[in-house]
Amino acid sequence: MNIVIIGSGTMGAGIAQTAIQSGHRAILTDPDSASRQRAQERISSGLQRGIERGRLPESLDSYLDRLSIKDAIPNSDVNWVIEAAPERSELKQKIFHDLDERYPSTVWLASNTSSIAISKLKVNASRHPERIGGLHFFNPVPRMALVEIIRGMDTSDEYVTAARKLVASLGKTGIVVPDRPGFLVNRVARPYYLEGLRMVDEGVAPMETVDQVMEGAGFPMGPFRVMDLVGVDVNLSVTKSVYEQTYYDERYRPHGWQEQLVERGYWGRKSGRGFYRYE
Amino acid sequence: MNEPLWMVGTTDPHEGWHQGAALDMVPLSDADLDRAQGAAWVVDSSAGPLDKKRQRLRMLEGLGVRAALTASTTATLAAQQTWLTGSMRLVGCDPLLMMAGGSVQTVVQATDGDLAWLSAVWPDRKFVGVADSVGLVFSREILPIINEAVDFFSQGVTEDEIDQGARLGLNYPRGPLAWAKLFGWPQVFWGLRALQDMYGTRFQPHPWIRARLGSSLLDGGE
Repeated sequence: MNIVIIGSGTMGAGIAQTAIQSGHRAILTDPDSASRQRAQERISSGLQRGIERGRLPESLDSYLDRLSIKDAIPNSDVNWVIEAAPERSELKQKIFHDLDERYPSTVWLASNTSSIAISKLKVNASRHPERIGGLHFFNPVPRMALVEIIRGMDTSDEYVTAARKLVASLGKTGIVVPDRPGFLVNRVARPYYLEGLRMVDEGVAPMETVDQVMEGAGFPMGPFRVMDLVGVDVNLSVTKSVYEQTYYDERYRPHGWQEQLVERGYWGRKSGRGFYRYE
Repeated sequence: MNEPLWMVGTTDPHEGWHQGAALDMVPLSDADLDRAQGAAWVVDSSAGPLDKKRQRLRMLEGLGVRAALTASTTATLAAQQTWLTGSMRLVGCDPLLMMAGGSVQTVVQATDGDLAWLSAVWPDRKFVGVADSVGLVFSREILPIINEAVDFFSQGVTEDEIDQGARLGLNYPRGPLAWAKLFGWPQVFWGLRALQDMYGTRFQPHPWIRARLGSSLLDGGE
């Protein structure tokens, strides 16, 4: 299949790498040349690692032959378009409007949004809303086995069937979830972070203890280590998005401590300091 | 360390409690509590109903039991101490974390001597002190996760998909509904309700849980 991916950031590049690893052709698009360059390097080094570790049987050139990185999307020979642009509703709404106008109804359109409702993203795509849904991949895409398939308002059963096939062809497990803020995974995970923040703030236990207890129960990382890994800012952004989209449901109220860290630039491992120090 | 460790509040203690224990843990029904007469330690693993737990702890104190390791996630240790005269010492713990087989266990008001005893009984586990609060750490984390998952289940997402989502998308060791099955739905309900009483409506048990359990758990004037 020919899969167009819009946006060459971490997620877009990861989806493109996964697609070419699985035998598909990927057309990765981004208007920013520096971002395209970074994606090319990221994908090449990811593939090289996989080859060296014996996980990928083909040569690097063979995989890269199935990858094109361009500044604009093609007009034809497309089966799927997966949008992985920055998490801004207006931007994504414009992208889906344009895609819906450009492509015939046989081209499936998906958003990789992590928290914005699919029905909201396709409000301006009125030609064929039934072929638009969500495919939420997890970071790092080549390694994470799950994809949430999101059925938005008017998304057809045929879309869900096609999405299941695509996800399976990528070697991943698809679960069909409702179009709710945060979908399933980000929604279920919110208390892990928020109660951790609250209980430390209330003096129930220090964050090191909270992390140790959860890790001792089999969780790969306690909530504070996870937030530092994914980015304190990214985690806060998802929480805020869920909080706002649920009309300020108390369960998802962001915590001021996290906000303070973000304002100070303590974004986690990527900045050398988050809840923990990494210098 | 030769005498068995009496376990009350359940007639079917979960294997998580036994896991790695250096002592035989022997369940005692409420009708047989007098067998614990004068025991140095008793474990009360029950999280609810609280009226029955109160009655049981009072009976144990009356039988001259010297100390109890008591589940304190649904009633703080301070609250449980008000039920007693003070002759039986209490150390709080998280029963769900014990059932989960956590290698780092949370305890409340444990002295150095208590910690030494706990480490002797469960040599593979580390015990750390935390503040006396409903939910402690693990229950406060895991129960709202289960409650969120139930919301999806009640909307038609299958149990398998929910648990796969948490395991594959978050790398959790079990899916939320698998955790709930491990603990039992009554434990989930009692835990959430106690958290709701203490911290507010964000912990309100999902109506599906309440419907599943019927009204039986609401009897008894908790």
